[in-house]
Amino acid sequence: MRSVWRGAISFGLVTIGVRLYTATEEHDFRFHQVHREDGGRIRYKRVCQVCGEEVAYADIAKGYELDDGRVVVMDAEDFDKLPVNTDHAIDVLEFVPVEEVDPIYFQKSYYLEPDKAATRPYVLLRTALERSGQLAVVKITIRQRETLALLRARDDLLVMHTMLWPDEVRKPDFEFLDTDVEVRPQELKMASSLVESMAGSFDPGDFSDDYTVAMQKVIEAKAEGAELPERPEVEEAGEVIDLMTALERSVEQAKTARGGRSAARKPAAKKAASSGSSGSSGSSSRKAPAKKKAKPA
Amino acid sequence: MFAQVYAGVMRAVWRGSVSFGLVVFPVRLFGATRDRGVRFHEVHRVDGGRVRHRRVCSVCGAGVESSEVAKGYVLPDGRLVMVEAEDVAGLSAGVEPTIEVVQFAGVDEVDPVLWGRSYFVEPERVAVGSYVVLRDVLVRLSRVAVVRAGLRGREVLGVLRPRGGVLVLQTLVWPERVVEPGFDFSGVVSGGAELAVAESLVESMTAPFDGSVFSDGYGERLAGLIEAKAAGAAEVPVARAPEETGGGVDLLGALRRSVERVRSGRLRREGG
Repeated sequence: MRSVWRGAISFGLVTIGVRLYTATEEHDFRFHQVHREDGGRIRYKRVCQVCGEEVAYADIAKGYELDDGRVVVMDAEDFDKLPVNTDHAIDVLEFVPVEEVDPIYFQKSYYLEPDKAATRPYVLLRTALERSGQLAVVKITIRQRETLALLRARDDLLVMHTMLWPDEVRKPDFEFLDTDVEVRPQELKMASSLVESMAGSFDPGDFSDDYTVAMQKVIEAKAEGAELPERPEVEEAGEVIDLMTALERSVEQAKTARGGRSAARKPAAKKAASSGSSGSSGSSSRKAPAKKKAKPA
Repeated sequence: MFAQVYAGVMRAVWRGSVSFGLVVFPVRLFGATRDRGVRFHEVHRVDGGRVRHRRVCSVCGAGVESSEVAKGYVLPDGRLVMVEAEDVAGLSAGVEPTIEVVQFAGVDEVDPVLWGRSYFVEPERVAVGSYVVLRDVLVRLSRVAVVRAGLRGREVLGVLRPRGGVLVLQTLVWPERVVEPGFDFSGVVSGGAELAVAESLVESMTAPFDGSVFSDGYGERLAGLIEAKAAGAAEVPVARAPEETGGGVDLLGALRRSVERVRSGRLRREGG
């Protein structure tokens, strides 16, 4: 792992030197654009729309288009005028209880590694966060952009989650929110027992990205000149029943499925795919417990 | 003048259905977030003309139309595999436009490292009843629904959870994409006195979370600069004053002084 940022947490008057590492891998397969005819890698030639000339990199500026169509051209020296927070600090602004932060704000996650000399205050902050059930709200500048973020204790480490700014979250103004919807108590009760019968602790290990596995197969098959994996069959829709009936039958099915140890979570198709069969990302057998679908009237 | 940045007409990005047991109801998804970063275009410095990117083949040097472009994947041994659209079409064949509930769990069981993109879920008119039942049940039982959803021809893992009357679909990063760090530092157990002071510092800096208290200083300064340039007068915004740091040596002392500062109101929430 290579660190993507180096700086220090400032927590009150305490400074903790840390490095950041990306916690998740973004790209599974990195494709390039290639010329089909000769397999040559595609490059981009920059051409000016006004004069039609090819533009050298040095002659490119940043343009911001105003609403009236005028373009403000920004040169490098314009950006130099902007005071950039270059102190490489993760400033702790305040602490908030874990449950108060809406997950909608979360963006990227980073692991924090303490510098050798900073292990003690690092462990101290981590322990204090864990014991108090709090998150630290921080501000950090990454690639010249100020970002709001959270520090959280995760096992032995501090993890930083960058956040969206509040005005980057939209407000849903759906019509149905203004209408009075009558929920029948029996429906709610039946739905509750369905939820209970499908409840379990969330184990991320139960889930994997079948698409990536299938993509791997396509690439391998093409590399060998072999035939491509077959397409899985698509399931058809079932009869039309009402909401209450659908809930009742679902509870029954979920209970039956429970007997065979949460069939809903371990799709059979996944096992088939990982044991090397060619029927890659089959969705048909993953439908348990909902074998038959129904549209409530 | 920044109307184009802030205006956000909600347009459905997806239509499909939620399946919860045998209950299936149609819904639409809307992006719940927007990037409000200032968007620049590349322009030719000399005449302000917008810069276009033309595809050129690095082998034959010819201009290449998009119809002549394939996806290339370089194998570890250096060989190039060309993948065509029809090769990967099969991968999406089994992916239905369905948000299928596979289990219910507590929201605190989801490692925040996994949180991905968010969408608001709107029921189609006929589906309001089923939608509201699912939403209300999740609220009452304090649970979230773990789902598999077919979005843009790919299956994604996600969570459906109630948020102010609306169900939100929040995607999760596939767990296998989470890198385990394996740092090599010994978990030094911190001393009792330090921990006690650290905890009181945390406590004295605790506040209910209100995101609107915080602002993107750089973004605001950049917006100001563009405005100034548009008006023909480039003002120079004021730089941020460096803050006092230190206390790396005497940890306990630094903690104590920090608590005092917070209590006397000299450490503010918003430093920018």
